[in-house]
Amino acid sequence: MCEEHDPRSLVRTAVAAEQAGFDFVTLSDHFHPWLFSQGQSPFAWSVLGAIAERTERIGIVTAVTCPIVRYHPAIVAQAAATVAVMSEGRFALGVGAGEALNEHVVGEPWPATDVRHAMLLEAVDMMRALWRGGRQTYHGDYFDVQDAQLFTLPDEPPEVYVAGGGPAALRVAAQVGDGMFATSPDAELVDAYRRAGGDGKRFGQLAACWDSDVEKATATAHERWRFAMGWPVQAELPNPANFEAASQAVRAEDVTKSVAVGPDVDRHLGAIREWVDAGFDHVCVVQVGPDQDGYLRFWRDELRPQLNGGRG
Amino acid sequence: MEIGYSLSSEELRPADMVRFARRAEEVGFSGVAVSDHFHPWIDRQGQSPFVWSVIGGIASVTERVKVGTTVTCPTVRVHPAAVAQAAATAADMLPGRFFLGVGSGENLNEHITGARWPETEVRLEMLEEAIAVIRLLWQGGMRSHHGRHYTVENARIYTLPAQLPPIYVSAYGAKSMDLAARVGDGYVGTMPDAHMVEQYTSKGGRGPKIGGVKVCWHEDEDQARKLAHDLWPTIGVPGELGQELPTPAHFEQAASRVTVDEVAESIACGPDPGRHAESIREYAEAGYDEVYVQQIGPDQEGFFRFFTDEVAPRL
Repeated sequence: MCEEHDPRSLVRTAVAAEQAGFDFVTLSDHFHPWLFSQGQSPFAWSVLGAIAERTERIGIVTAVTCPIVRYHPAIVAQAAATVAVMSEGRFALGVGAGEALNEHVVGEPWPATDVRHAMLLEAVDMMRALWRGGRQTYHGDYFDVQDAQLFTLPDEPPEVYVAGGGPAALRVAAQVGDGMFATSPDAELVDAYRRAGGDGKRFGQLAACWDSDVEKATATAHERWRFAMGWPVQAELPNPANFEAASQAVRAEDVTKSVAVGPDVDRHLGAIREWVDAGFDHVCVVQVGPDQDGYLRFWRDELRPQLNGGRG
Repeated sequence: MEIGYSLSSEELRPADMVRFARRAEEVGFSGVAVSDHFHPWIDRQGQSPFVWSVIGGIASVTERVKVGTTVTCPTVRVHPAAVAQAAATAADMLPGRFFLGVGSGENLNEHITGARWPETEVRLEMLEEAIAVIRLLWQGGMRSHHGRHYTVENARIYTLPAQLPPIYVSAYGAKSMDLAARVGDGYVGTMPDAHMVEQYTSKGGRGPKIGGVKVCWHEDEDQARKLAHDLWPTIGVPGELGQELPTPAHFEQAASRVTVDEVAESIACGPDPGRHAESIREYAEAGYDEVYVQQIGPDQEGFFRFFTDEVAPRL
């Protein structure tokens, strides 16, 4: 989570995650954190360059970046191609229709959801055109690419996973994605993706907060994760101050409904199983709070031995 | 004068750039400068990675060298708020050893989003405003800016380095020199021209004057000359064409009459350490404080050997 960690800590954690046996590592891409308590927001593409350099085996995925407002999709296409080359094909691009929190900063209007979905569709299409190589010109409804060619290209273009919290976004995922990305373990999301013709990978992001002390874990989760009020809210509020205000009424017990807190192995396993049961085949775990090493130890020593061939 | 090493994004693959940056640190260069392009100048140069990911990679494998952009353009294809965030992250990953070199850009890289390519005066105005936006955001706190070219609304950079990086400004003509002297923390030049350095200083310019020089070491001088001409005939493209031509194909055409001799006249080609040392010394004599040396072609290891064994002792 770029929102919570400085860039060097993110790189260290990614290296440690590889050593702990995870299959892939995901990185968010924000301009602002959700809450003041999260406190960070480094430039994701520099962190990804360092992670690609310092790891050897682990998959690297953005979860997710938004290629439609504050960056032009041609820039994201170049950045993604470079990280794919640096990681020797271990990179995949997770994209979404964005949040006002990060995109409003350049002073552009914040389009309605259906417009953002159309923009995202076009952006993915444009990036794929650039990844084919050769000189490309593309005049879309929202973006132009004029005589552009990517010179630093991986052997195979990166896969693209599209984030969706509802059927409309999942239709975009089915249409242009190699997979879907979700933040709640909801079988209906997988169904919606499949109904729209999606047959790719299904990624879920699970929030956990391991600590030997469950009360402390609960407090950390409440302090840093109470912004997760659902995408209709999360996509629209422009600033951390708004998330602070909007989440004032969110209680610790509301947060722990969706965040696996504390040291109990069964609780964490149960949270992972929810995703598997809902039809997801890739789960990434976000450890909320600073103690990344603690979670990785817990994962290696206690969780992983209980997961038979499960994805990390 | 300090001597640094320059990595051409137009020629090198990103993982190689990271590897060579580490080698440059090992063999004792004072810094590593990285160019930022969307396109190479001509197809034969062959590469153009995303510079901020390369810099992240370099940060993760070096400990001592300065690292900076020579130069990036924060005005058209990337919004200055995004550059402000990227540079702040780079400075955090490279504590106390990152510099942001900026310039008013080239149509070659900036035209790709279909935005109009403005005339020079407007581009300089945009660069000045972009630098102001970057500095504003680097102050920390929630910031807004409603300027002539850029809008920033309620933006705050959360990942700020303990020490803000200096901003060095590239300049050639009188107007850009005014701007560099007025707003830069240093000057970036690519010609060993005492008059330019003097102009920068006499207009009140502060900070280091850093230059870039291309060389092409090869044990066979003819090979070196051919390689330099093959990859960088564009150094013979005159005047403002470098800023105005939109695609590598146009540069190909513009450079089609540039001869091997013309290229070899301005680039030290071959195995003579005296010639290489001289081309670097010219920058010291012109008043530069630091010069970044770029070896043309793939044989960077050969250059490192040659430079440390034969050129450095003469400087």
